[in-house]
This record gives sequence, structure tokens and C-alpha cells, in this order.
Amino acid sequence: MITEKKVKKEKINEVKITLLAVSRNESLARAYVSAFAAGLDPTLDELADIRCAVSEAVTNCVVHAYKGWENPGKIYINARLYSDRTVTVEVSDRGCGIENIEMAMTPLFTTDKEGERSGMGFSVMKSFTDCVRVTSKPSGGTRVFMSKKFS
Amino acid sequence: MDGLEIEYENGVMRASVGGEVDHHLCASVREDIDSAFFKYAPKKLILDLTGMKFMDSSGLGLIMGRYSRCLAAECEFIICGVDERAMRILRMSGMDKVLKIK
Repeated sequence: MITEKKVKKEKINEVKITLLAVSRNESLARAYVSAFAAGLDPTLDELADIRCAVSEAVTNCVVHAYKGWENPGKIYINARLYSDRTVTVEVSDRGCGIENIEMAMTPLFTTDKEGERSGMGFSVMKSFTDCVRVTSKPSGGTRVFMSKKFS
Repeated sequence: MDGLEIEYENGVMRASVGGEVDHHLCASVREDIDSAFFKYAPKKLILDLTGMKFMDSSGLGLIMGRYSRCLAAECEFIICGVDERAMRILRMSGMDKVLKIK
């Protein structure tokens, strides 16, 4: 008799990173998360996808979350690796929040015309990962959850 | 080469952007490209991305911004050195249909 063993999805690693929401930390956040995700031995393309998606989420925190604040706030990154070769990345802030998430996720929509934002941040995150979930509270902050399963 | 290099000759301005083309880099590079653009008032602007190692939607913003500057100044705008990953982002925005990409 052959019995199929069900593969249980187990967390195999986790990292939490707190960064100041300044633009020089965008490359640092990409480097941290891609070094961490490399633990699942993904392809270079898969790793580049994660790097780009993280860059978009972190850039949103730098550009929008703490706009008008005297001192920059913080970006909280929580990344996890699972035994089924999934990486999840949560990027959160305690900033202004998003009033209308649906509108914010519309391609080419931006509230920051002067800053020459393309309005494609969430579209890139969606395209380069398997799943993007955004929760936000006005004046309470925003949390972006992304997951991607490597081949 | 990381960062920005600008050359100008006979009405053609070439801005070569290298390294990680993210929001951090774009903020500084954008101002330098624009001040050279207004100084030289070129007939043709070439944005050369051959030395680019990374690009996200901030790089797309840089491209879209220079495209509209050129449109307003009746200057020809060409981008070159676009890799497959950057092309994906250009396609997502539909900019691949309006830009001259070499």
C-alpha cells in the first residue's frame, strides 16, 4: 500500500528589519530581503522579482507615509521563508495611511505628480509576486503583504 | 559607471544613467538632466540605460518625466540600453508604445 505523505508548510526562517524611512535605505532594504530570500535558492529572475517588489513597497513608505513629518518615521519589514519554497514579505509603516486603497492600486494613479511618480508601484508588486494584500488605516499606517512561491 | 554622465554635441544630448535606478538615484539624476537640458536646449535627447543594474517604477517615472519635457520642447526623445526587466515595467505602463526604444 502506498501512503501519500502530505507536505506541511512550515516556517523555516524569519527576519525583522526596521529602517528609517529615507531614500538611501531603499537599496539597503532590497539587499537585505534578497539576501534573506536567497536562502530558498531561487533563480536569479525570481530573486530580481522580489527585489523589485520590495523596492516598490519601501519607496511608498519613503515617499508617501511620512509626508510632512518633521523627522522621518520608520519602515518595518518582516520576511519569512516556508518549506514549500514560499517567501512572504510584509512592509509596514505607521504613517498617514491610504484613504482609498482601490484607487491607490489603479495603474498610473499617483497623488504625487510633482515628484514624477509613475503610479505603477502596486502594479509592479502585483506583477512580480503571486499575491499582494494591502491594509491601511488613515493616520494609522499601511501594511503591504506580498508572497511568492519559487519554482 | 554608477550615477549620471552627460555629453552634448551638435544638438544631441546623451544622458547615461548607471547603477540602481530607484527613487533615491532618480531624485538627484532628474535635476541634473533637466538643468543640462535647459542649458543646451538639444534637438535630440538620448537616455542611455546601458549601465543600469536595477530599475523599478521610479525609473519609469524618470523616463516619463523626460518624455514629457521633450514633448513640450519639441525635442526628439530616445531611450536605449533597456533590459528585459525594465521592458516589462515599460509594457505594464503602455510607455513601450509611445517611446522610441533602441
